[in-house]
Parts: sequence; structure tokens; C-alpha cells
Amino acid sequence: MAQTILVCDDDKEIAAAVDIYLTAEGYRVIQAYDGFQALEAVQKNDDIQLILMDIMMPRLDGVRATMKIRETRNIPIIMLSAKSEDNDKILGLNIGADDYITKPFNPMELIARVRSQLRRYTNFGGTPEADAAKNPAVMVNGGLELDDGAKRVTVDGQEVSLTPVEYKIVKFFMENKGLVFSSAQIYESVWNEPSYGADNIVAVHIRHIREKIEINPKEPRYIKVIWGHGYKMEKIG
Amino acid sequence: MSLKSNLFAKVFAFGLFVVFAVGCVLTSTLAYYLYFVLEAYQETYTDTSLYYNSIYGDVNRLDNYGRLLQKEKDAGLTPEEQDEADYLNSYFFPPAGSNIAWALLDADGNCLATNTEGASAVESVKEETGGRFEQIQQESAYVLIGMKTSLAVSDRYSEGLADFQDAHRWGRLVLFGAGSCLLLSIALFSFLIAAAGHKQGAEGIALNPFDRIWTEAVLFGACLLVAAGMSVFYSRMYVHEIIILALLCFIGALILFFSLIRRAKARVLFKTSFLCLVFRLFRVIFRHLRITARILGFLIAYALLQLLLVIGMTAGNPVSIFFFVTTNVALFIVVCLGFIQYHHICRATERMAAGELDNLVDENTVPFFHRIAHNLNSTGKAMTLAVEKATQSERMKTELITNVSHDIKTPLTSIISYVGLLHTTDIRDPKALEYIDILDRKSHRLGQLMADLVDASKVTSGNIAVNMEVINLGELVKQAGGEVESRLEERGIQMICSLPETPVFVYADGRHMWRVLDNLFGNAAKYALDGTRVYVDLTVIGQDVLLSVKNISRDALNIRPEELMERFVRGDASRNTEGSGLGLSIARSLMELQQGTMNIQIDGDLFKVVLGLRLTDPPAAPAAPEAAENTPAEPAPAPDTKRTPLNPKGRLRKRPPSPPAP
Repeated sequence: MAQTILVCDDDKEIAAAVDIYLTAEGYRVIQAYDGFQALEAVQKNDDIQLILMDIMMPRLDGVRATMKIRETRNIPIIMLSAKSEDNDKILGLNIGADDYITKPFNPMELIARVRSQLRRYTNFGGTPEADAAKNPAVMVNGGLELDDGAKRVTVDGQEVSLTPVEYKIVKFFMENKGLVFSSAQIYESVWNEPSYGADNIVAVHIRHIREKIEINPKEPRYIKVIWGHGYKMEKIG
Repeated sequence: MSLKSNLFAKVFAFGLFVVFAVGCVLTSTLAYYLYFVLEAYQETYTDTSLYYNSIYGDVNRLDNYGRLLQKEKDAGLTPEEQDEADYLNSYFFPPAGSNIAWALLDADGNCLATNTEGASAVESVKEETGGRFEQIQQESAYVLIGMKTSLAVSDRYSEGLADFQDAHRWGRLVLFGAGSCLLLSIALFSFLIAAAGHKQGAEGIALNPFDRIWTEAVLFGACLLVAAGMSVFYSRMYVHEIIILALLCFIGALILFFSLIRRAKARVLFKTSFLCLVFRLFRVIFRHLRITARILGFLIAYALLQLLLVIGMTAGNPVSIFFFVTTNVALFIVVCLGFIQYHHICRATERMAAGELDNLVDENTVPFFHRIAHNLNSTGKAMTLAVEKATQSERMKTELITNVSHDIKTPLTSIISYVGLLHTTDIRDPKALEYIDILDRKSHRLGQLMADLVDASKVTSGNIAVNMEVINLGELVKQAGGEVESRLEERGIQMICSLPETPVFVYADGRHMWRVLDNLFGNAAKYALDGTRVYVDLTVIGQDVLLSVKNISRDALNIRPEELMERFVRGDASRNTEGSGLGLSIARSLMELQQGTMNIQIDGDLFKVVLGLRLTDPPAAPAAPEAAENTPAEPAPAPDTKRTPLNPKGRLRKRPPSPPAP
């Protein structure tokens, strides 16, 4: 059973390209070329499970279309726009989009984000949280799951292989979601010894972790860099 | 040229000049005495008509002797006369002989007595004196007297002659000395004149504050000092006092004289004179004759009025007293008001200079200077307008670039997507695959360029949010180092950080600081020589925080640091590596937005960037603000809390073990 994705972009070639990529991944794709078409498609097709929405479109733009859709549906909506300003991203996420991808995008990243959103949407209220309730050794944050019993970390259900130190760092963050820690604090907690000197060992490890658990390490969802202060695990959901 | 501007050489030359000048005066004085006075001596010796003076006594004695001889012959002598005759006899016939040849003749020409040996006394005298003798008619007889040609006998005449000859010889030497002193002092003096005003490291003629004194005053002072120096010689003081005082006077006069020389060389001799000042004053007055005339008219009218009133007052007229008081009080008030309003205008111009352009001065409060106030306000308005226009145009430029970039990004997205799709198609031709790779790389590069261009435009126009907060720069350096580590490692470049042990808190925008460091480290990764090291040093000097990034460039840096920070300029100039050439420009603009500085130093292949920020106190709460990347950061602490020492530890200036000196 193929999941259905609505791709809405006034540039037909881009819509077609996204269509090809997603079809290749086994999804069913419906194309729309402006906000009204997107609304129509959503009304007609109840099985749409994810929408990729451009912002700048004729007739009805992506922001208003998203707001309209959000009135009735809570399927994941990923904004896909050439607008790369922080303000645009904040606006998009505030009006109900679940993710924001800027053009020009990396097709692989697009697919990964789509997959992540779909997994979260379809598993919502499903296994991971239930597992966590059953097993106290399992910690969950969004699509990130850490099973301390099995020493296993999964992202959107896929296992990632971490080194022991990386695992310890992720665990430390999972235990302290939403708090900011400086490199020295992380070092002292994970290595259990006082931190000296100016080496950036913690920073290097965290970058490696991000490369493993994030779709785009430069725009992390989980472990965020608070420049000049430290790092924190974003609390999701 | 260098000697001219060497202060030591000039002082030395001045000293030498004084010494030689004094030497010249002394030696020429001496020479005068030696040469010209003894010249007279020589005359005395050679010319018997003058010689008469020196042997006058002898002539008298000879006369007396002749009288006694005749009396002895005629009537005999008294015992007293005999004693005198004996004395004169021994005087005129000393055992050692005499340098004087003489003869006494009676009226008939017969020889009474002579000290010459020969048949004819007259002939003998003539012969022994070489013809230079005197024949003097005395009471008793004729006296023939003259100096012998050879002064064989040691007496006062021969000693005088020896002295004269000595003096004559020494006189030449002294005269020579005087001449050379004169020449040397003239040479030194001309050097001093030529060197006057030349100063080490200064082009042209350097004038000192001393040279601004009125020319006339300096000239007068110099003359006065010379006169004083001269008059000292006529005072009743000790010789050493006279010499010291005269020297001081003449040295002072010389210093003043050289000031005049400098002015003449700089062509300001007239400009610095009092005459010129008066001249200019008059020129200004004459140029604005109408204003001058008005003021003059007012002054005269006022003086006349006051005169009348004073006359009235002395006559005891109460009305005059009333008017005298009121007019003067009114004048006082008007002058006060004038100065107050002038002060207002001054303050307004100061505000204007400080950048405030709106409502500079209320025109109604300065009726005396209404026109100035009006013009000032108009200028302010015009400038506000200009600034607004400039800002607007800058903003429009940024908007244009942003919009254009959106429009470019859309087709670019298609290109990237379809190039990506090409990879998935069944193309076997290796050439086609290579071409696709190129398209892939270049399309991504284009995307990066667009992003950089938008950033640069936003950053330089200040059209970007800056969330200033207290951040730990040391932590940021570590974080940034961790982020770029792999990029550097790919090129075999090692990063060596040296950070203080204590946190270094600065007031900045963490994300912008990261962008700056990312650009700098990224540059190092792109342009540093493979296998070298990048040194990152964070130092605190007083209240200044300096973060330097040093690396060895792979290519020769044949470019000025300022040019590197211009947009679209790269060190290699050949544009064959990745990068947009905007990195340093963006970094510097970001530093400026955060009230920081960024300097680039190039020393051979050593490329060094120094970021400067101000040290600040640690934040009140140790926990960082709960700020996500996409939400605005915690409100920055108010600037006035900056100085409250919450945690004095943050100010520690402990240095880390410094890296090995290069």
C-alpha cells in the first residue's frame, strides 16, 4: 500500500521532478499547481498523507492554502520554498507546517524528510511512545529513540550506529531534553573527569552525532548548537 | 640631506660655530695688538724721525754732556759738575759698548766727543747708522745720534728688536689663526643657515611654535641682545662675567636669527609679522566696509549719546541720569541676549556634528541669528532626507537582490533536480557521466553563490536582525572548531587553539559570530597550504578581546588586506577554487554589526585575521537562554548592567600556556 503525497508547486517541472523522486521511492504522488488545486486535491483524496507545499504560487499562496488545510486535516505539511529568510521559515512553521525545506533542495534530503514526517505521522500514538511507557529504559524524543537496555539508538525507526562516547552523549542529552550544556559540562558529565584546555573534542563528537542522526546536519532537528553557550537536545512533541 | 636634518649634527655645528667665532674675535684682537702696534715699533726702528722719541732722553743727556765738556774745557768744573760729568761719561761709554752711535759737535763742526771710532766722527756716525741719524741743534752743540745697523750689545734696544721680531713672527701665526677661524665659522654658519628648518622625518621646512612669534618682536629681540652683548664689554665687571654674559647674549641673538632664517626659507617671514596681522585686519575691515561702517556709526552715535548724557548728568539733570542708566542696561541686556543666542547656535551645530539632524534649533528662540538658524535647520532636513534616501536605496538594493535570487532559485531547483534525475537514468557513456557531474557541481555552486550574495547584501545594508547577548567566546571557538574540523582534516591542516582558562564573555550575536568564524575557518580550509597549521588565539587585553586566526596561504598573497575585504575579491585572483569571494566581506560586515572590528594582516604568506570585541560581564543566570535556532534569542541584557561586577572571575586575565613563538 503506497502512501499518497500531494506535491504542490506552480513550477510544473519542479513538481514533476519531485514526483519522479518520490515515485521512485514507492510513494503515490498527486500534483497540484496552485493553492486552489491543492485544496481541491485534499478534498477529493482522503488518503493524502503528506503535502509538499510551495509558498509563492499564483491565485492562492502556500501559506494560506496550508492554513485552510489545517482547518480540517492534521497531515504533515512540508513547506518547499525559495524564500530562505528566517522570518519565512518561522512564519511557515507557525501557521502549521511541520517542516521547511528551502530551494534549491537536495533530493535525498527531501526524501529523508518526507520519510521522517510520514513515519512520525503514521506511527503517531503508536509504538515508540507505547514502548517507552512499557520500558523505562527507552527514551523518546520525536523520531529519536534510545533504548538504554539494548544500547540502541534509532531515528525514525532506523538504527544508527554510534560509538560508545557518542552513545553516552546522546543519552546525556536525552536525559536532559531542552537544557543547554556547555562543552565543559558535557565533557565532565560524559567522561566523568574535569575538563581542561581548549580542545574541541566535544564539538567534534557532537558534529559526528549530528551527521548520523540528522537528515541535514547543518539544520539539525535534535541536537542544536547554541552558539557561544553550548548544545541542547530540542524537545519535540 | 640627512646631515641637515640631524639634530645632533646641528647642535654640534652650532657649538663649533660659537667656539670658532669667539676664537676669531680673540685671535684677531691679539693679532691687531701684535701686528699693528709692533708695526709702529718697526717704524720706530727704521725711521729715525720717529726714533727721536725713544732716544729723546739720550739727546738731552748728550746735550748736557756736551755743555759739561765745553765748560771743563773753558773754565773747569765744580765738584758737583764733575760728579755729573763722570756719571755721564760712564753712561755714554759703557764697558760693553752701545747700540747708539753718537757724536757731539761744537758750533764749528769740531768733534767734542763721540763713541765711534774713526777719523771723522761725522763720517763714522753716518757709517755705523747706515745713514739714518739725526743732527739736532742743541744749546751747547750739535748732536749727531743714530741707531747702529747691528744691535750687537744687549740693551733695551736690542731686546725691543728681539721682541718685535718675535711678535712679528707670532703675529703672522695669530693672523693666520684668525683667518682660519673666520673661514671655519663662515662655513659653519652657512651650514647652519642651510640646515635651518630641516627636521628628521619632515618634508620641507619645519617651523616650531617659536617661529610663530611676530617677526618684528624676534628682530627687535635679536638687536636688543646684540646691543646688550656689546654693552657688556663696557661694564665694570670681571672678565669672565663679561665673557659669559656676552656669549649668552650672542647665542640668544643667534637663536632668534635662525628663527628668522627658517621663516625666510618657509616664506613666512612676512606672514608671521605683526605688520601682516595689521594688514590683514585692515583688509578684512575694508572688504566688509559696510558692516564696519555700520558698527562704527553705531559706536560713534552711542559715544555721542553717552557724552551728552554725562554732560547732562554733571549739570545735575535727572532725565540724563534716567537715560544713562536705561541705555546702558538695555545695551547690557542686548549683548547678553546676543551671546546666549550665539551659544544656542553653537550647541545646535555641535548636535548636528554629532549626527542629530531633526529640530536642530527653534528659530523663534534666536531672533538675532534667525538666518543662521533657518539655514541650519534646512541643512539638517536636507541631510535627513539624503540619509533616508540612501537607506531606502540600500534597502531596495537588498530587496532587489533577494527577489532576483528567488527568481533564480526556482529554475535552479529544476536544474539541480533534473541533473540529479539524470544520475538515475541509464547513461553509460563515460563522457556524458562526466558532463553530468560537472553540471551537478556547478549548479550547487550557483546555489551557494546566490545564498552568499543575498547574505552579503543583507549584511552590508544592515538589513539583518542582530540578537546581541552575552556569550562565551571561548565556547564558541571550540564549537566552531568542532564544526570545521573535518573540513580542515581533509586538507591535512591542523587547528591549534589557545584559549584562556576562564570563560571570555562578550556581547555579541552567537549565530553571527559563528558565521564569521565559519567563514574564516572555511577560508583557511580553502586557501591554507596543505599540511600546515591554523592558529586560533583568544586573548584578553584590558577590556579588549582579541581573537586571531593565522594560517599560511597556499598561493602568494599579492594583494592588499583592504582589497581582500572588498566584495568579490579573492587572494588567488584567478577564481579557480570554490568560494564566492564574499566571505571576508560578510565577516567584516557582521563584526561591524556587532560593534566589533575585523582586521586583516598579511605578512608574506602569513595570513592573519584579528577580530576585536569588548569584554563584558558574565550573564546574571548561568544557564543560557532557552532559545531555539529559529526563535529570537532572549532579550539582551541592558547595556547599563554591563559594568556591574556579578562575577569578578569573568574578568580574570589568566593566559593559557602560549603556543611556541614562531
